[in-house]
Amino acid sequence: MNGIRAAFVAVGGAVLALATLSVFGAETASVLPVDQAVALLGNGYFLVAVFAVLAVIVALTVLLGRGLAGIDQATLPAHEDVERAPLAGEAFTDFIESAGIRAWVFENRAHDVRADLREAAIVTEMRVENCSRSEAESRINRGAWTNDRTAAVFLAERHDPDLAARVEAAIRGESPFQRAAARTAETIAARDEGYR
Amino acid sequence: MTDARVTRRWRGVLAVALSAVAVGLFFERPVVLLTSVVGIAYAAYPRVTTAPTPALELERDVATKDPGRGDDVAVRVRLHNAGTRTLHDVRLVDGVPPMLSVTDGTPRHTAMLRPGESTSFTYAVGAEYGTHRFDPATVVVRDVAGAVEVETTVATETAIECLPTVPDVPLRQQTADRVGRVVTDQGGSGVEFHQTREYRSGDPLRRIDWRRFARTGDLSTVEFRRERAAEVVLCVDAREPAYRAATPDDPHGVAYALSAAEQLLVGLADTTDAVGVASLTDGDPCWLPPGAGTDHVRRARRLLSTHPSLSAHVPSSTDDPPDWAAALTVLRRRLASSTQVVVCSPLTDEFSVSAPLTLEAAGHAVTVVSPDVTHGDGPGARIAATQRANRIHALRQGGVRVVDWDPADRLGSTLVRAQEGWSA
Repeated sequence: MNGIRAAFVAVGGAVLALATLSVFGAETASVLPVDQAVALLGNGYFLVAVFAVLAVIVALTVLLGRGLAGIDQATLPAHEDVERAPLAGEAFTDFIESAGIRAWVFENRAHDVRADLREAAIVTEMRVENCSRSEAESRINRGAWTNDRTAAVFLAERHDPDLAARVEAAIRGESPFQRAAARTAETIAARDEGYR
Repeated sequence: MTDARVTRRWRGVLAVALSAVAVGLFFERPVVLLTSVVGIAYAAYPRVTTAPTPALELERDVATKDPGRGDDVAVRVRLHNAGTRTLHDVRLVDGVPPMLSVTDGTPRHTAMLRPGESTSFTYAVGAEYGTHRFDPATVVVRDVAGAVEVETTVATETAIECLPTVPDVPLRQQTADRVGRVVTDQGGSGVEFHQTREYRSGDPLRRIDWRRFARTGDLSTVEFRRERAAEVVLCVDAREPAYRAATPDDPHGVAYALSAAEQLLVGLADTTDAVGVASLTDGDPCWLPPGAGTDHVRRARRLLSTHPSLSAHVPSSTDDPPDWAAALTVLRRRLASSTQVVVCSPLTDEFSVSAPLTLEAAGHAVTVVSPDVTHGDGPGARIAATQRANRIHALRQGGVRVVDWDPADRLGSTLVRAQEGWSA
């Protein structure tokens, strides 16, 4: 393989030397049968057209290839910062920040988010009020665990948001689900932080 | 890992060369025709040259191997071309440990290296709790034109240890049948007074309560609290849900849990207690049964800092649901009945509660050391903090001791405070 490469390099070098001599030395140019070669191929314009078409084809191929695959070279890793891990609670924050459409499309996820919040509220209530699970559930179901109406309705047994909550959410550019889930999380956390 | 590739960087130059030929022919300008040779040479170059074959050696020195948390540690890297060919374009990124950030300079470097030549550079990282092993440096070597490149890694063993001393590791009273330092509720020989009981034949004379005998005429025996050695397994929760951080700049829960386990291991190394290590993980778990002695502790420390299940790199999520219950069953089978367990976990999901409670119910005295990674901003972080507080409460209700560790504080002082709370 190396021999073939060396042969290509030698032939290329020789052709280059000859071409350079023919450009800058009239004697060498007169020795080369350029006119006969051109006549054999047709005429000069035919050669121009062949090379121009080849140039356009190659240029288009390169542009298309680069657009699709780009340059195939190594990307050195970034080690300057601490390797990023998911943040605690990030999944919840992401969901409620984009829940406007998702809450409708991925209804199960919305259901899970509400179930998680409800469980957190029940356990927090048990801890803060030092009460049984059934008592805590009863307080959540009745909405008696907080003065925040949005949070109370969100976790109550029947949790259809009322008109006021829908309007308030719409004014803020949020879906009722987003608004209620965020408010509920804040309310549960505030209850826990007040206890701690 | 070595990967050679043609970069296709000069792919477009052939079109330029062909255009030069066409223009040169059309205007009958030989010089323009000749310039196409340059383009053809660039296009042909990757085909006629071979990829560089780098033979590189790396040396890495850290200024302080046991810094305090937050200290800047200078790292000096030296790259040596041990091969016989000149490497025209060498680009290197050092393998900074994933839980450390660069505080000064840059871990990137570029050089041209002749055979036998070396290049060096320096940067600094901020120290964090734990043992941080450097990853291999990534090196890319390109030829003169950048048409062919070789990507490879060069490794050398280097670590930064930031393990503050833990004054006293608080263990529970579950012990093995060996003399040690854990004061138990069992009467016998020891130092701390436990109780007096009626004299039994065979009791040593020195333990007879002679004052009481003089006062009442009854023979009674003084019992002291027996001091026994404990068998402890330090278990790191390294499941995917434990890889959670408080902020993007902070290490995650597994890194803190691992550093807690390392600090406890070092603290227990000077005692007569037998200590082992384990991991709760999605894959192949780490396990070293309890033992004592310098070699054993060294092996345990090495395992904690090198075992794949305890990697600081965040695992990619898989489609298969992990079977954590099976992992817990494997751990339970390995534990002797007298072994107590210290679980190091950020308590970021419900299994991190059920696992310690299962172990406690199975007769193992369990202590949970939990680094807090929930002090971020936003509703998600706040609800995560509340859920963690609920989990701590549930563990305590189930009889499990919990050390709630804020990584901004030293673990040692948190343990002392926790111990004061337990003995109050």
